[in-house]
Amino acid sequence: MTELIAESRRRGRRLAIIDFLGRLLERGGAWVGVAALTFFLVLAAVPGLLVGPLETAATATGDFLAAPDGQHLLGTDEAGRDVLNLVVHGTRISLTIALMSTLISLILGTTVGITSGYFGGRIDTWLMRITDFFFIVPPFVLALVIAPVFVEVLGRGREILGFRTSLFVILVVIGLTSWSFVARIIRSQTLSLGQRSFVDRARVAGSSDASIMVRHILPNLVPQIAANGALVVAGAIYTETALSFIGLGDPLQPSWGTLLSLAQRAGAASAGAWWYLGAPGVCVLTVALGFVLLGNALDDTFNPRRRVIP
Amino acid sequence: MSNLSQKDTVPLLSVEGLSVEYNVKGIPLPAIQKASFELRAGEAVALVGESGSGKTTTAMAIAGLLSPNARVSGGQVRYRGARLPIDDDAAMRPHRWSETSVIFQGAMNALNPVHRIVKQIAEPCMLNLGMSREEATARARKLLELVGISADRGSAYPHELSGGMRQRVMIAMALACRPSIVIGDEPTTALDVINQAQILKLLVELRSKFNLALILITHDLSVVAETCDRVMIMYAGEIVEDGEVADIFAAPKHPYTRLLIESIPDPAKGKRVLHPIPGDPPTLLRRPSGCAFHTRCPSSLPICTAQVPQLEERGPGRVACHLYSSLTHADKVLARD
Amino acid sequence: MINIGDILQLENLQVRFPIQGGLFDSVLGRTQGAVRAIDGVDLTIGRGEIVALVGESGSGKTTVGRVITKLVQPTGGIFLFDGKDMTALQGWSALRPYRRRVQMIFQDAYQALNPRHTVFDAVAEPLRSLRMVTNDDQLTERVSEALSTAGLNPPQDFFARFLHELSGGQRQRVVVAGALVVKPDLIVADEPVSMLDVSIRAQILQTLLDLRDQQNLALLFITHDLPLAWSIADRIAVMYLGRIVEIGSADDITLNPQHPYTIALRDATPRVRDSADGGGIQALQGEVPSAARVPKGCRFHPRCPLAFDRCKEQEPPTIEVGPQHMSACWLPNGKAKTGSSTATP
Repeated sequence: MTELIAESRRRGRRLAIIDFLGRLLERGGAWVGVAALTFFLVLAAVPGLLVGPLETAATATGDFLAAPDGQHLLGTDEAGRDVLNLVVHGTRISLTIALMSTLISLILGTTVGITSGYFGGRIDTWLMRITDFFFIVPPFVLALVIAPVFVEVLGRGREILGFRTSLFVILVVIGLTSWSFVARIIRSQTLSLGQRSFVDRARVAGSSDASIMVRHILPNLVPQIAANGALVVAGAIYTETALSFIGLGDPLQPSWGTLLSLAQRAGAASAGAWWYLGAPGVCVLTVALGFVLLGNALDDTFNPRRRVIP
Repeated sequence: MSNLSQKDTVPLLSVEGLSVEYNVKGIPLPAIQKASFELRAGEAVALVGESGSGKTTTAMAIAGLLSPNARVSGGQVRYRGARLPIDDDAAMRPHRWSETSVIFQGAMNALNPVHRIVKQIAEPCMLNLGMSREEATARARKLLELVGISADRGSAYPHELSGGMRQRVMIAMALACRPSIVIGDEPTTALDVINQAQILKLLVELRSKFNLALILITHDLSVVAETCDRVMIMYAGEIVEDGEVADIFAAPKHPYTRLLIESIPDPAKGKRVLHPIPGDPPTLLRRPSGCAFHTRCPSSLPICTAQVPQLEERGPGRVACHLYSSLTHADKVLARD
Repeated sequence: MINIGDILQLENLQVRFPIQGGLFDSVLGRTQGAVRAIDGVDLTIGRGEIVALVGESGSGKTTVGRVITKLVQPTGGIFLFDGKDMTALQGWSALRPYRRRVQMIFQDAYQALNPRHTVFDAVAEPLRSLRMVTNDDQLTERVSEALSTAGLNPPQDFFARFLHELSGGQRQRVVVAGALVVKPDLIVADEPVSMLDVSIRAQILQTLLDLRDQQNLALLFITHDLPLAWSIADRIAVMYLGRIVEIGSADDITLNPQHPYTIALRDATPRVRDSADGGGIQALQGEVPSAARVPKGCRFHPRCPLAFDRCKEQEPPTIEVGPQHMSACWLPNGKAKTGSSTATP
């Protein structure tokens, strides 16, 4: 008999997912977004598909600032390193930071949002005040303030979760400055869900507050979380790029932002080395756009009535 | 009662074999099948049915307010003898509000929350009657008084009014351009009993005052008994019975009509609701073969599963039921076509 | 039905919601008053009894239901269940034994259940949350039983279904199953059939009546529909602006109402009339006032066609107007009925 329940639930879920994917991929934007993102995710996971290990100044293979040719598809940088190599390896750094910081942001934001929206009253007031504070904190200022602290405490050469200290700082900063956006949205959704009688019914059925938040409210928030999550990632890509660009990144683990920074300092613009600036720049744009398209498509799929322009 | 003009040989509204289908994910689903009836000036007709009966679609078709995925697949609607282009939104615009207007269910959704009510009533006057702002506003105030709202409340916003009062505003809007036909789509369903009584009395009063033809869509037969002259019972997109209200209630013919009447509790007669009708009303997707009601009908015959009964005249009204159809007894029992 | 003792007693129940003042009000110490949702309600429900609570919006009938199901805390009065004082009881574990015996059926089946849960999960939830079963087999058995009693057969076919796959009638049956799965002694049903098609209402009502007959289930049936209340209830209590204005047997209230408000309700209810019954519906004038500004004296006096001086000053007590029939009106027994009709010209 328990087999029956488990099986029926699995069947239900399978059908729901298939139906959802079908509706999602109906949208043109979704295809472009998903395609672009898949490409980059694969690159991030298996850089070896396209290039060898990360080139350093010592292992550089080409001329300085050479234009793209048969051997170096995207040219070389000021140290002679293959730009394609650098960009591909940068994919892992940029994407991982963006995704992980988004994860932090979603977990923190959802928890605060649901708690605030469900309990209301003083809990809501205080949590929202904290949220508002983090909402207005500028990422750059926060990064500049806490970077030296982290470096002091953790040491320059240390690696946490595979990231060197400075990148870890960026990850933390993005997480801290984007969660409040999520929290507000989740809170307002929770407020409206809490009005619906199924929450009352769950109470009458004896479910505890925690049970209601996790088993009733959270599953109904998944669409919001997913759609907003994609947009948060897009924002995270940009923020990471910007923070790395101003020098907070790590040249030993260059993200696209760091590459842009190095390119700028090497005078790529005045030297006409468009490949050096262009390659990481185009990557950032494409990935961000991909996530935005995906986010919009998710939003449409979950709420077909909201969009007026098809 | 109504002011039937005997001199009107052409009915005000004539629905002839109207069929409408909805396009749902590429599949055409019939919502109304060959509906035919007439409406004369000053008559009050009720369209009664449950969900999936097609009553709302019929009324929306008449007003030219069908949703974009609906398509007229047969028949036509005539207004004063002339064919109405009900599937052409632009062509229907001059007709709407000034010839046929609609009072929607749940006025909360139909009123613009950021405009004062007097402005919302004045707007159709300016657009359709070409009135100036002053003229239209003056008319709007008069209309508000007509529906029992004092003119000084005209500067209120919809959210400042109660549900009953908002529905009165909807009625004022519906009357703004002096229409001949007013369609009420469950106008009192969302209201409390006493509010409902106020609105119904208002509708009856206005109807006789302006000789309006009224089409009332409802699922509530008791409301019909108190306000309408004629009633049409719809089931699964078809008219299954129609006639004068008094006749229908005194001697209902179609088993569905009988069951609907029986499910009204009547304390004065000690009649509790004792006979549940089994099953569910059919949806657009699951329509039974033959007579759509046969799966729930206590008197179904073999032919009922095979052949759709036609709407035929029986006595003062019409009924679509094999119990009364002109087929021979043998045909009915042996289900021969 | 032979029923021993009362399962529920409400004595002078009060629920007041304070109105949030603005910043200046709290600084200046001004109060904004309160919404008196329930303003002194006395009600008893016997075991296996069906009591209907009839009223319009703003009457407080839904709030009474929410107090009984412990969704709202009373601000005054006493609330006894099976002889024990439940008024102050709060907290998840403290309420557990209570929730095993009192459940609720909601009006809108589509909103009353989580659209992401299967039928099985929805019906099983109370059993799980209230720790009423010890293993999955027991769980499945109880859920099957509940679905079957609610009229969804065969139950297994419905386990994996989602709400949106079911018809309106079926959805409401799931809601009913979700309430009776714990085998309660009392169910509060808030407009359980108002959103259903007319032809299906009788099915649900019959199910509830069967439950009362077979399991001695008591039912508080909340509705605005007086004839509907009459068709199912043993007794009817009529509420206006937070108070019960009349209470009696179903027949008494519908056929022999004494309070002018009840009479107005009856006269406003549309019905099929014989040719002998010449009148039509009568509409009482005006609107229900806000529960934040309850009229002084008798709360109904501003709209009552029979109001006189005393009504404007003093709130009438509940007076016995017949056997087991009480009315809160200053008019002597029978006067309200023989007074002029409550119609507006």
